Amino acid sequence: MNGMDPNIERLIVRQLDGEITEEELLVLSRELLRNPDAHRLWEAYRELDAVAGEVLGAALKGAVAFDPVALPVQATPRRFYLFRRHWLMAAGAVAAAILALVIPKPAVSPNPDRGQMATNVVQDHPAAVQEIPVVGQAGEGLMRNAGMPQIQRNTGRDVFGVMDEKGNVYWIEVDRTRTLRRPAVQDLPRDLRETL
Amino acid sequence: MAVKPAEYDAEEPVVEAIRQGDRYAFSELVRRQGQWVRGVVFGVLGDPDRVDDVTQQVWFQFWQRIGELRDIQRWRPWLYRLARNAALDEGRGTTRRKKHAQGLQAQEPRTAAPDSTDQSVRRSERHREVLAAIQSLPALYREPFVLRHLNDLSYREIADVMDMPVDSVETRLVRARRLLRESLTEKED
Repeated sequence: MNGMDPNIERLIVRQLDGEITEEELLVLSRELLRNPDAHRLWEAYRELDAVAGEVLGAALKGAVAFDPVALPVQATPRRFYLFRRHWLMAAGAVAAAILALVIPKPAVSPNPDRGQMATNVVQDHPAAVQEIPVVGQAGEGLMRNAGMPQIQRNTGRDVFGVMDEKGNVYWIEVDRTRTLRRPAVQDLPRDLRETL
Repeated sequence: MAVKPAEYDAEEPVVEAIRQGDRYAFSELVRRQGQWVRGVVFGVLGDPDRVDDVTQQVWFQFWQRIGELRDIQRWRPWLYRLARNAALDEGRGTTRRKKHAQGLQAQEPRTAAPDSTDQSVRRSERHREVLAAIQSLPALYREPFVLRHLNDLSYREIADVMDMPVDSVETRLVRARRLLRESLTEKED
């Protein structure tokens, strides 16, 4: 297609494929009348299309046939829902249980009694410990860098964290910092209220 | 043949029946759309000798995997992808030049048997040349060309099944013809 206007070639192809608009057809018709090269190209493509259709039809003639009775059962659609894999969840639960048994418990009891708490005071930096103004009453526990101890709810105890200039954190557990709400009379069962 | 989802597609009830496990509906669809699938496979492979085997696989997959088709209106692009992927799998590992040579050798008996007249001989020769030229096209251009000429699909329909813009289809069809003409002219010279 030497020297042929690409737009004319495009119009020729569109015309052969049945995609050309009326306006485009007018343009193409004028060009085919006055331009012998365009006309030769149109003839060449027209012949090529005719032969191509015939050749492809002959080459791909034939059909694939299936015996309906012999067809296998259709596969069920595959769906990838992670949490519908019950076996995976069960395996995860077993693994978690094993880990819980295998992993050693922390050296510091999360809720030590009074005597144990006293021994939990770490003395790596006794000077630092001494510098911290410990405010409270007897029975306080002092722990450094052991992580905040867990406290039970409604026991009247609180834990305070104090950090020194070296970044050490001291956890101080203090008894009776909260006042538990005394049960009101109206909270009691009716028969008990009547006896009071 | 309606392809756009917005238009009515007479094959949709058939496909739905297949999805429900209707074996006879499947046979009917194979009969009606067999040529189209063969065209897709040939468009990718460029080798008519291997079209039968691959087409068989495609339909088998269609039957087996119809449950994965979520939007029934998109059954045709889905089938197109099945056919295209099967043809690509088949063609993998073999050079196109080798396939081309095999296809040419195998193609000869498929064309019209030459009779004693010169005209028929010339016509048969011309058919072989055109088929060889189509086979030697890059798949990029051969696929839309075959869909257009074998299945008579419009640009919009080709664009829909191939999932590409209509303009790209047109460009590829123009280039396909240009390449074919150049290839055939070289042979004549």
